[in-house]
Amino acid sequence: MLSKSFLYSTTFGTLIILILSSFFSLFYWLYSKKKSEAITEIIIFLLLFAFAFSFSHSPFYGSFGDTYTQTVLNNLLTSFVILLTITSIISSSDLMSKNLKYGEYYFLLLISLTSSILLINTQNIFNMFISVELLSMSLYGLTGFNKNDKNLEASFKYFMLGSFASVFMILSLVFLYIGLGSLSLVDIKNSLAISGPNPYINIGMLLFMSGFIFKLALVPMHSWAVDVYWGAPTNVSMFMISGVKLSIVVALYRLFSSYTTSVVIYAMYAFIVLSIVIPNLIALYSKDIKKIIIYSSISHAGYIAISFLGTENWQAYFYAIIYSISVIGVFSVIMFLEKNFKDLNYENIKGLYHSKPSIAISLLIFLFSLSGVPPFSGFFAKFYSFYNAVNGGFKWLVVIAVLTSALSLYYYLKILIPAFMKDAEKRDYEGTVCNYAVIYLTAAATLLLGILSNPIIELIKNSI
Amino acid sequence: MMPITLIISIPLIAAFIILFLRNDKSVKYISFISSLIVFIISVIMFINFDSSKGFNFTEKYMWIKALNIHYYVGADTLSLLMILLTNFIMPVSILSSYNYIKKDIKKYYIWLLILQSAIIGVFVSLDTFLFYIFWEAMLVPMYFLIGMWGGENRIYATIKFFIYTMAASLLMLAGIIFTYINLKNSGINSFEIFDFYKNTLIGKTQIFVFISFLIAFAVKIPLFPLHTWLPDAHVEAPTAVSVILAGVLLKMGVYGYIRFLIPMFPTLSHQIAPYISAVGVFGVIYASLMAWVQKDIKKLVAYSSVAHMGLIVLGVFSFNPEALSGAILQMINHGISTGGLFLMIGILYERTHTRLMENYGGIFKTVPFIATFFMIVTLSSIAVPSTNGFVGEILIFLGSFKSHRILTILAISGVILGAVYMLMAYEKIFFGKIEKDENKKILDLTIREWLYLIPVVIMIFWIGVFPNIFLSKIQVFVSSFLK
Repeated sequence: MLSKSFLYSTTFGTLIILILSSFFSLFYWLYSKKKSEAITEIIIFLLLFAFAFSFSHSPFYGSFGDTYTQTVLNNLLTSFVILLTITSIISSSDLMSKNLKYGEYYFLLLISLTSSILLINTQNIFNMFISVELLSMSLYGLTGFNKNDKNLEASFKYFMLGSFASVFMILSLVFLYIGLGSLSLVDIKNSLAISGPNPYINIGMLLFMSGFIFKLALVPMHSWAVDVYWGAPTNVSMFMISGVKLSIVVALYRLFSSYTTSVVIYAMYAFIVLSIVIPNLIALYSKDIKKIIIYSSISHAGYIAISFLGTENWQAYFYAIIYSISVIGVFSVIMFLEKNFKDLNYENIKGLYHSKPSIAISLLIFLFSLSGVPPFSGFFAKFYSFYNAVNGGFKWLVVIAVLTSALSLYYYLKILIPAFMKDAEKRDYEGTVCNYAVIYLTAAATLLLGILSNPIIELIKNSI
Repeated sequence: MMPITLIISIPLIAAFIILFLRNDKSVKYISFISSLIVFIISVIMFINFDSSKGFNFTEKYMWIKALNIHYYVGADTLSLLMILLTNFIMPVSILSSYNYIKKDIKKYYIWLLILQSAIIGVFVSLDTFLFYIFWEAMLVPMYFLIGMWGGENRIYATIKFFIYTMAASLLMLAGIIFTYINLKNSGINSFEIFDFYKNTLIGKTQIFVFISFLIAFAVKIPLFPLHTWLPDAHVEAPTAVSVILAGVLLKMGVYGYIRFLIPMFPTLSHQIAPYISAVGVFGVIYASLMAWVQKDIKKLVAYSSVAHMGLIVLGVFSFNPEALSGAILQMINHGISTGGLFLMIGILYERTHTRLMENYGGIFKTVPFIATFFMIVTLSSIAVPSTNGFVGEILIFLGSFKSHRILTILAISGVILGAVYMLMAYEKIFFGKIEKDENKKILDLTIREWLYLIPVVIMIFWIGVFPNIFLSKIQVFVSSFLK
């Protein structure tokens, strides 16, 4: 039953605000005669309101029979996802002005944000399925939003492969219900503790998790990701790799930790090894900056998953948070570059440092952070993740992981070489204030959040 | 007073101030003055140092609570000597790059100052995690200093340098995590270096951790056959960066052996000592032969550097007081003499824009002062008595002869080779007839160059004649270390 406490809870309020604003954006656009660009500001304002609301704490509650539980951690992640969405909207605010269909765009964006938040807050497999479907539906729309060939192809591929994954998830629901008679994660965890692994639940959980692994794009279920993230509008890819990925990581981690049998662990081990080796190898031969970053995002999903295997649980959240911040930054830089270059071949950005040092330095911070060079925050995230895996007894996995991060250095450095070390004539670059502001802010965060990681870790640890 | 935090942060603060300056001249002055202040502070530290106390000037603050990581710094004799060397070389190399660096002046000095603070950090960290942060953070400024202000082939050199060192250090990171987990399982939740000595690693894991530390430091030294990045990096780097690279960065590897590897794995280190020493001695001979056939004077000095470092490794792995004190003293000597050689090469290169020896010849008469200074640092590099190199090498050989006889004899032959190729190079550059007209017009030393060469020469003779000021402190350290 919808208990009274749920109605007063912050999550509920946040969701209501988001849903209302998404419909407002749609109807405003459909029925208003004067279509003003001010809708971006209004949406940002509404999101800020939702952010502030989600930050206020309300007492713990559980409702719909523990389907949704509000914990401090969920609150924290909810507000963080909203914050990520706000920054990605700000960073891409001018891209949309060429394409005057804000209403639909913000509608889809806010619906996917809403479903990400549902995904973060739920404790029930059926609800996870519903939210991830809703999320995917709106992302299919967003991917093809600009309606050019590249977008549409990406959207169609995403839709076809995504529905395939959904089919398996539905099948898994059947297995789980036969095996257990409940779809609550708490029940699954208890059943494992009481009666040990059961073949139906085993198959069901593996299938359901593989659906999420598909959404997270771990190798070998990654091939859609390259096409989709590359084909989608850059601002949409940015949102997908930062906020959406964060919520999927959280959900997958919850699934994993409530059903940690040896089969699941070995499957995860295999996925991780493949995901940290293969994309890093492919990226070595890639020339397109955006593609390199996309391959690196696949390998980073693997690095995040390494920390699932450990005995402590704050590392995965810390990694996901740090990573999504650098992704917002690096994609904002890519957006800036897309404005100034037709082709994102890394050789083209020659002399960026001499003409636009602040952007080049920010790019340096993001890339060094992604490759895990101290003192940037990516190093700390990787370190904690590796530490956790060794703590769980996965020593050789960590050895593989450090070797692949050494490998990945090469392609990150490859981007920096033309930008810093090759001379070119000074040229003018165009960019918007909003884009710059997001780049600088995320660069500062990426530089400092590692060194000052103590309060963040304590916050996450205390909220779990 | 917190002198160590002060000397780490002053270069950073100076770099931050420079960021907002528009005038190139003030950029140069501020970076020089900051490095001079840091040098003065470290001299004061040296005077106030009490070697009987072990680690002086310690500071300890909680940093990352979840893993019990501290900002924990302090200096014992070894650290202090390394800091002193770093901060001595730093103002010298800043002065030496006033004319050499012509583009992006501001950014160059910013990177140089960041590098200085990272190097100091490496030598003073008493928390392994903190050490690792500084150890790797140092690569970033080096990457840009070589890649942006280097020679023709700079990009190849800088990538090779970066990936070589980074790959090895990442393995060490895995080793550090393994050791930490081992300590945690035996009830010590700490990243402190002293607690790392208490590890109870066994079997495969122990060997993995040992090898990961061994290789990470061997790349930095660089020990044969992991030395291939060094000649490239040296040839392409600008003068000041070569000076810092040879003078300070290579010492970090040996520092790592003395600070981490040997105390963490005393038994394994003793077992492997003959092999490591053999590799070191092989490196001495190999690098000397390589140096002999070089045409590029900078590459020659780079190979001589590999040879000297092999000798230091022999000293460290002899495990007796004479050899170890000699090795530590030789670390400083090598910093000064090879640094001096790179300075001299830089001075010549600024005037002629060539490093090939065949393009010189007979310039002794045109530039008598350059020739004199070059001679002094050459003599110091080949360890002629009354220069600093002699004291260090004789101590190493005295000690290592007790432990590894044949190796010592071979190593001495390598030293003879050193005299051969250095003096031949000197002859090719300064003696003979002037064949090229442009060589008749080379200018002699400027006042600025006198200013930074004089301290180098003073140090060469000071350590050569009165080594006791350092040796007395080193001996206290060594006797407590070998226990």
